[in-house]
Amino acid sequence: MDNFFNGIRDRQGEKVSIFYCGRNIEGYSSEPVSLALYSKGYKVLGRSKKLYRFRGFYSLDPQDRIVLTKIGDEYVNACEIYCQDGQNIEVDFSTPFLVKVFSPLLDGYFQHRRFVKNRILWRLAVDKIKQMANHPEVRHIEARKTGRIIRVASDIVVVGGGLAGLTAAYTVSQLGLKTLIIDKSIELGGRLRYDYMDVPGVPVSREYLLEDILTKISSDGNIKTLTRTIFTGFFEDYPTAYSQEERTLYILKAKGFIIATGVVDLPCIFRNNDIPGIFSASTVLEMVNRYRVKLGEKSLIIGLSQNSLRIAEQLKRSGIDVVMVDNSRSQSIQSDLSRVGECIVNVREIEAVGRKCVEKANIIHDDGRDRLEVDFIVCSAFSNPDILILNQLDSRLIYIGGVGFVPVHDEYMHLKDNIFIAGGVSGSPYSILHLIEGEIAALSAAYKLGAKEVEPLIEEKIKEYRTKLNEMNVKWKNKVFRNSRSELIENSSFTYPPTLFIERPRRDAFICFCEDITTEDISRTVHEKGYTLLELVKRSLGVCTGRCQGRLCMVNAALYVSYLSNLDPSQVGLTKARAPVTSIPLYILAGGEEE
Amino acid sequence: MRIAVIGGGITGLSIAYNLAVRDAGEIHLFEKNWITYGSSTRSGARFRVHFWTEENSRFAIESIKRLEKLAGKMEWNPIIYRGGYIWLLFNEHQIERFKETSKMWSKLGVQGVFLEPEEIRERYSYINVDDVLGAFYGPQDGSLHHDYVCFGYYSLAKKLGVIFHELTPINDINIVDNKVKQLKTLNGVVDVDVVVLATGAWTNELLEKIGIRLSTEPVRKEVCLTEPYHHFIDPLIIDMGSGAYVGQTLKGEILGSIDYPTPPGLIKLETRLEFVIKWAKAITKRIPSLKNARIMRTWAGYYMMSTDNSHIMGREPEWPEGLYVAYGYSGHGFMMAPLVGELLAENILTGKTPELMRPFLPTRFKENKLIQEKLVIG
Repeated sequence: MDNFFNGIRDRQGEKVSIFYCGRNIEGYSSEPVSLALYSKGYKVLGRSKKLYRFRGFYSLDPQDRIVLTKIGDEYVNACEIYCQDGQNIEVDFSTPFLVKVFSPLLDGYFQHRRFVKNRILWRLAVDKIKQMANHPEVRHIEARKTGRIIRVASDIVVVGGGLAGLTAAYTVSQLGLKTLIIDKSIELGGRLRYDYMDVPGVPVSREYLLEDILTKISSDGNIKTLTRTIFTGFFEDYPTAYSQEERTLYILKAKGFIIATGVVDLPCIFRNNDIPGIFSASTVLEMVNRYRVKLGEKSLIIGLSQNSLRIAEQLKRSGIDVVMVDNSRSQSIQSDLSRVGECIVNVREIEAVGRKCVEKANIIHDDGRDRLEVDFIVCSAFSNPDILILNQLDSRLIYIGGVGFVPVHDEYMHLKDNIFIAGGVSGSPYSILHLIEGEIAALSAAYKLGAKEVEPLIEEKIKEYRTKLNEMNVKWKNKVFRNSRSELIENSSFTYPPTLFIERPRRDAFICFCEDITTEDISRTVHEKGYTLLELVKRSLGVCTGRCQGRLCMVNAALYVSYLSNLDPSQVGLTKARAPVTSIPLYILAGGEEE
Repeated sequence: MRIAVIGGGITGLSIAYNLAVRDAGEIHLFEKNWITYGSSTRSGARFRVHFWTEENSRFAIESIKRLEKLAGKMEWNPIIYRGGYIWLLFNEHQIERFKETSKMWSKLGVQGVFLEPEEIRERYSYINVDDVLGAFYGPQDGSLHHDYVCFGYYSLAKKLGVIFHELTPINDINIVDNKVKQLKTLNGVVDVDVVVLATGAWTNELLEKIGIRLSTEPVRKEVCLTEPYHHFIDPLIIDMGSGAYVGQTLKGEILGSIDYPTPPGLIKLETRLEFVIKWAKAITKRIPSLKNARIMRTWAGYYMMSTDNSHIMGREPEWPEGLYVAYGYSGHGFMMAPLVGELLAENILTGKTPELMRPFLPTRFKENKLIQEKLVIG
């Protein structure tokens, strides 16, 4: 099959010219359109749905379909499409008259508060309202594309080609089992590809680690790889994945699954947190290191964690000034701060200033206020396990302070039925743990498939795992393991949302970018309506129902509701994700099956 | 009087509200999860007044009128929008059937329009009418916002003093001297005089505990939803050839489903890829420009099917005193519930059976006076 290849690609690509609102721009066929535009200073990719705000991209992840861009006659995620000669990118900078007039009314709350109790007025209004939202056009686009459906069989499917996933895949294949790796990015390797610092706790260098595992994978006949392919979740009858590039839906047939989808860097909640120039932590590294894009001179990193420090150092290395801010001071990191420069702690509120891109940042902290000139802002305050697939599987998720919503699993990395997890998605914070978890998940999956001889090996690995957990002081894992043995969910305690950087609910601090839902909308739903279950907040506002399927907003929304209502996040709960967890075009589904 | 309504969906909420408006006494509503958890928020959020039978049509017309009137009082805008239903017809038999029934509809004041293929093409240029023989368009049908209707009732009922018990499943109903006496919940026992079961697909479990059997069974139905697009489909389009339907919500998402065989019973609320593929094929054939749309979500809910595809409300004389049911809507519960609540509240408080309610009594199965509704969508 032509679409199976081994994940390593020439990144150079050729020079192409693309057009942004009529202007000719140079790009490379190896980079996404969004990146080519950003590097040339064209930062606005589209407008938001309800309020017509200017939007760029937050992450390069193809699953985060926050903003769609008109390329040619189609509306697509500009981070998913790579530059091609002659591409035409259109952004409409004008705002419709009705939106200008009525936009003060168009907050997330408008559906059930402001509009119109008079039946005749309502009939007039509704005809206008349905035309007002900034939705992509689908009606007039010529339906010339065709897709196809292919069945792929394997013993084990590994979702995610990062360190944990690759380790798991290699371990499985060493036991003689056929393995399929599915990864959404263009190359395997996950974070190792673009985080250029060594992995703590691993005695070899990052380059060696990556090279070694990729060589093993590519020379292994038992392992097949599908890159640029998104795992779209478990339907009742089949698990599926799909590739936009290949216009193919894969129906997966496997005896076991290992989910290693890593973490999501949550957007921080501050004023104007939706304008172009605000990025997720891993996206910044990817842009600076992997694509070598000049992002600017000055940056603001929100959040003080080991991860933020890594980013700060790498930004400095590429000549970018860094200011770090956080809402609390973490003692353990304090000593490292002098290395990277300015740092503002006890921040109460952040406001990004700018309309079409970030120009300045206002920071209010306990000792006064600062006004910084910045070119971009990095959200690095909090990463939550990427629980989208697990949520769709209806697996139990518990909230652990400082870690996030974590799937309940046991020491064997078993989640449920024939599904196992490994790596960041299990909440583990250190790469060294991801390596062991990959091995354990692989061995357990093989055991489940009948390879009973691996049992002593599993026990040995679990012993090693427990020692490492102790060494690294990851005590909360014990709580997760305990939960996996009993149906009783242990309550966590209330915590201040780590991503929250506003003093009070704001109309310009967004939680849900797809649906334009602000902190003020949520606060009113919680306070005026008294709804504190995320399910009910979702039903009243539409939060988590947008194109990103709650991937970026669900945890933030849950933590914010919990903060407003003083409830424990587990009581607020999450909403259920549904298959497909990432949307699939109808022409692919209707395309018919191929052998 | 102490009345317990079991079930926090649209039916239970409407009954509780209507009882409270009539000052019926102490009203408790029990919901095993949270308000709207069951089938109410899994619905396609559409209403219609066009049924094969006069009983159902008349009931739906009155019901929607009630809801529109109540909308002015609600804190939530139920977003009622009469975008119409259009049935695409593929053979003479179907056209005949609609022509025949439209006499009854005219009598009730809900005339529709018959369209020739050219007229369909003119009015709805996006529909592929190559194999279509004609269509029936019902302008009185439309959509509403299922969550907001439920929340609207909920807040009204709460203001009127209805006591809500969420996360409180009912384990058993105690009957003493052929009279409902107590409800057993997780938190203890509650004394009651009247129990109304508005438990939708889960009603059989409770009825069987007190030895009552009605011929109803839940059937799982699946729905697809696309990403939001610029609004262009006003009516709900029902393809009588493939059994698919498709419409666009005011939020812009395209919502639809198709007949797909499913064994009856409370099977897990999951969706099948085979179903999605069948719908995708049918709907891209009917509206080719939807090929570029992307399916964002699928979900499932139950239709509580009764033998004659019509709802069951009220009580049988032999049943324990104080026991009432309102369920078995067979897929069109949301549009009926506003009137069901009103009529049942009257029935409970006065003992009289309102005219509109009479055909829907549970006794009709024994008396063999079935309603013979055949127009079920999805």
